[in-house]
Amino acid sequence: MNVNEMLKAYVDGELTPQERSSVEDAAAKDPEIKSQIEWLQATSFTLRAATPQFEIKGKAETLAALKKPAPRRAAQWWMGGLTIAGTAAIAVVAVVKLQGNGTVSNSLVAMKDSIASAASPVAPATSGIASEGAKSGARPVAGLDRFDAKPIELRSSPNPVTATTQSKVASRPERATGDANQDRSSKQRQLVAPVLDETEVITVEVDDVELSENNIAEAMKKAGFSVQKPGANADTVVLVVPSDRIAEAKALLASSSRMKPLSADADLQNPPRGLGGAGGFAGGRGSNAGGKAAFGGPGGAGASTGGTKSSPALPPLGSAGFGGGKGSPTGLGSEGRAGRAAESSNQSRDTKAKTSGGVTESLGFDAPKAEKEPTRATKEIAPASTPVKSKLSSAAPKGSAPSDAKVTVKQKPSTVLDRSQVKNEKASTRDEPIPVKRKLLIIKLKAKPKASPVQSKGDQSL
Amino acid sequence: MFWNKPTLDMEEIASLHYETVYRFCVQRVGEDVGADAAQETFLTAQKVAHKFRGDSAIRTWLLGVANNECRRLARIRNVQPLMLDPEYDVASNIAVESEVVNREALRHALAKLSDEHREVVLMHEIDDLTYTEIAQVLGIPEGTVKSRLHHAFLSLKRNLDPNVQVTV
Repeated sequence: MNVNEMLKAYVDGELTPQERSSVEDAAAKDPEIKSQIEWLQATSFTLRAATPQFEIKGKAETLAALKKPAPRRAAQWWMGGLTIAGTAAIAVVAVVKLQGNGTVSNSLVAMKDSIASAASPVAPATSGIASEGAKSGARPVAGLDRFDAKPIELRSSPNPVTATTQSKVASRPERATGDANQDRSSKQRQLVAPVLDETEVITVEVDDVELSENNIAEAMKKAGFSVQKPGANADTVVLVVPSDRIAEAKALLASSSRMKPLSADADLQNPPRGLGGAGGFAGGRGSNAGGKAAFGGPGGAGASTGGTKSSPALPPLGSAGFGGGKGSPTGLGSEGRAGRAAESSNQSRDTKAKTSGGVTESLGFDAPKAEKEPTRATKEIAPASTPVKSKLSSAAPKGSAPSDAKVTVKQKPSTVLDRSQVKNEKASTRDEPIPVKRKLLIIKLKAKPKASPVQSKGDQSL
Repeated sequence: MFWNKPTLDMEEIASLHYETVYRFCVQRVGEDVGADAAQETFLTAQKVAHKFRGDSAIRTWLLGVANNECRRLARIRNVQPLMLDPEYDVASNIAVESEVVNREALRHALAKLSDEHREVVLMHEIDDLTYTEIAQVLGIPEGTVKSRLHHAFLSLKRNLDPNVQVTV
């Protein structure tokens, strides 16, 4: 840097001692440099003297503005990013888990169904199907809206005669349904998230699978059930049935399929005491008869509905009311029970409930355990019913009544409630939100095998 | 020094340095926008206080923020810088007439300077910043400041009317 370039710095005092001395030497020798220094000093002085002086404004406002909390823009972006990252991580984990298991986990499906059920109370819930598939190692049912998979394999048992009970009860505690006069739709509206409480697989033997499948589907649809057919050749009909209409659904199934019930899971797990499979067979015959009686005419469905509506209010008596015998511990005959059941619901449905009650008992589902004489309905209908052969002989204890024998049932003492208890129970549960329990019925249709010596022998063992 | 702490009490800083920042802003964007520029300077400083590392004085750092705010406001608003005081300082011993002439000539000469040159001139002569401080405010080397000042004054001298004598 030459001396001329250091003149301004010299005037401003920004030079080192060496630079300063060099400039002073040059100024002493050259008058032009000296005059230049004088001009720079004069200009700088003028500029400093011309520094504007003005009133300070806005200090109070600025201090007030600084007291307000500053917007945290820096925090907003990373918090948003963290939220997105967390959501993505959860989604990735869920996908990996699903792919790793090869099927849908039960919890996710249950959650999915809960959401779907909350949106549409009558929407078919398929969690049971998926669970069944996962349990048996088979793939979920195809054709269902929410699953893109193949039909469920129901032949989980190596023995085609003995069906495997595949019942899944949700962890949700069971609640009494309380007031039978309360509208079902209003009950459903009280629910936050209805869940599918139980899955039941019913295998029936029919002459014509396709025809029976169509008949069952049509009949169920007419009765207002949610029906899904997994596929054209699936031989399976999936129903989503409210728990209080299980009996109705089974009766309708019996009538529409002209079937022979091979298995009913609940009864396979817990056969009626003292009856075992024999009671079921006798009931099976009755079921056909009851089904005919109940659904042969236009009023059939209504009769069944009336009977089942009394069931939630009086769980043990309701079952007895459907097919209760004269010899029950409560001392109520079939007519009396049905009548009392109707007291809580509707008197006009009483006599029809008796008929459908026979159906319920005859199918062997929820059959009362007390020894009873056959109901009037069973007595009357049994001779007209289609002969039914049962393959549940292995489940029947020795000494049980043959399939054609009159039904004698033993009622569970633990479940018997007198009227005062029932009233108290109803009163205690009346104000609570009543969950609508739904049951998934998977109806597996199986072509009836041709009569063989082995089959005849097995039947004779009954 | 309290401003070397990680967290700065911007209210206290503003109460100490508001006048300096306000003058700095008014000279660059005028009185109308100067208050807004000064307030924006402190609000911005409050937001970015975590970036202050304590390498420079808080005054220098604030003037750097203010310089950026004035540039931003000058782009979006029609501003009239107030570089020199047009009124004569009676307290001075300089003749009124010559002083007015000199100031007016200087004002015109300053206006003709480039932004870079005018910027360093104002910072050094009006804001009384050292070369080092100017370098920190502008984020440029100190040698660059020295060079810019030298050439700025050469340009200023050329821009002045040769008939105007700068009286000392």
